[in-house]
Amino acid sequence: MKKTIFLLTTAFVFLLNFSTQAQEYKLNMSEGKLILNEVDRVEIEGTTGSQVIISTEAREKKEDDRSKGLKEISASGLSDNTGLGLSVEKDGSTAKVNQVGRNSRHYTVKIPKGVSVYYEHSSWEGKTLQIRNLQSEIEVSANYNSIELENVTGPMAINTVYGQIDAVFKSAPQSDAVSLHSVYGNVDVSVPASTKADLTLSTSYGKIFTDLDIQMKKEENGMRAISSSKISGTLNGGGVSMRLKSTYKNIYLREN
Amino acid sequence: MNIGEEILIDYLSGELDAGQRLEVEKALEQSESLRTELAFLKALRGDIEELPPYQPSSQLEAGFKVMLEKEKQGLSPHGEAKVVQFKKWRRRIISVAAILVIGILTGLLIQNNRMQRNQIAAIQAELEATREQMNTLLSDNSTAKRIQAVNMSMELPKADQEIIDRLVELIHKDESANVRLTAIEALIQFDQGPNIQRALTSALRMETKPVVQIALIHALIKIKAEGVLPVLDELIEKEETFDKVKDEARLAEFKLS
Repeated sequence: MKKTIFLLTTAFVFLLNFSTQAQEYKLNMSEGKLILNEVDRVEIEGTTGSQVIISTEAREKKEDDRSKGLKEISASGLSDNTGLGLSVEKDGSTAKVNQVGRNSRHYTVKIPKGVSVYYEHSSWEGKTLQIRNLQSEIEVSANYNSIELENVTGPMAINTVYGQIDAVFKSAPQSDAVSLHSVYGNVDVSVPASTKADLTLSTSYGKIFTDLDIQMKKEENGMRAISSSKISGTLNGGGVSMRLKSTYKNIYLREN
Repeated sequence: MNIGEEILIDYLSGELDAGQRLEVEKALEQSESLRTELAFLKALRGDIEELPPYQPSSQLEAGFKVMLEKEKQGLSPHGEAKVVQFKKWRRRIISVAAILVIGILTGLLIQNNRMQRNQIAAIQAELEATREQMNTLLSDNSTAKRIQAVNMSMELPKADQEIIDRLVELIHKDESANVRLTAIEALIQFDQGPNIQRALTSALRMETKPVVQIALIHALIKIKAEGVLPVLDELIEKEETFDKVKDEARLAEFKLS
């Protein structure tokens, strides 16, 4: 009997421990907009289903004993209502996710097809934002984050001041607007050779490199604009509008 | 008088009488949209006047020469009675030539007029269609759709006041930094005049996103907007301004002054 009680208690404690470490947060959402605000380390992934799922790895550091029984709050008045160091507020069709205070966690956010994403970050603590297999619309406005896009097919509008932008399109982007803009970082994009696109590539102080056959746009008088700072042209007769801009660094457009 | 495009064209080419002119001028004073249309037609006229002058086709010229030769050959240089004949021939040649010249001129005028009207109609139809599509896309919640609308405006050879106003509004009010960035690029492609310099300067004063602030500063340098200098001073003074924006503002002050 004692043994059973002991075993049960151990199992209970173990389970309790496990559940206080609940590393996943689910939000029912199949349309609308998810706003990720000032979350430092994020990986966004497309998924099927009708739930936004946020997960994070277990905390490496031991809990601070002094904080037992206390709740973490931040200067912005946000409180952790997910158990993941994040605050989630839902208002109508929009859900807003804020990071509560400082942490070094890496979050994975799974996004159903109909939910569009807006990621905004302003401080130097913003790290590389990874976006994978996403089919819905994504918009990013950041100061320090670098951005990596892989196999993203939805419309995308990305800007960052310091970060660089790397995008790999395994299949040609399907939507009608791709806009990638970095002020001080490189913009590096690879697309399938068969991509049909209208291209605008521009840089004020950098260079533009490509191994694709870009047909330059001719003006009505038969002249063609050759300028190192802005190139307008088409790929395979034109199609999706792709605007790539790096003010101070280079643009790389390659075949994958 | 109902003032339409045709009357405005006549007004521009000075083909109205004094009374009509007065009426048009009065209407222009009252109607903003009429002024816009007049400005647009004026700009278009400027374009058309830059077209190369009409060259009569070589066939027409050759034909005229052959006829002249034939008439000449029919002339006889001798005899009193033939002097009368000669005078008669000369008169005939002159009148034939005059008729030809009048004919060519009339044809040219009609052709020119028709071309002008067709061109105006085509450009207006294009503008109208683009504007309509833009308005639909701009009212969308999707950032990508609004960027697409701005992209569409950039495909136009020329923008009218309404499209320019729309772009200025986007730069000031759109919630998406990405839309604002694209609109700045589109706007300075169409117009770099004092109104646009003022619009971008006021946008810079309101803007808080570093990436857009930097794009505005670069655009203002490009269009040589010296009026922005006080706003650059403000930005440099302000504590909360992003460091790199301060650097860009200092660089702009150096380039513009």
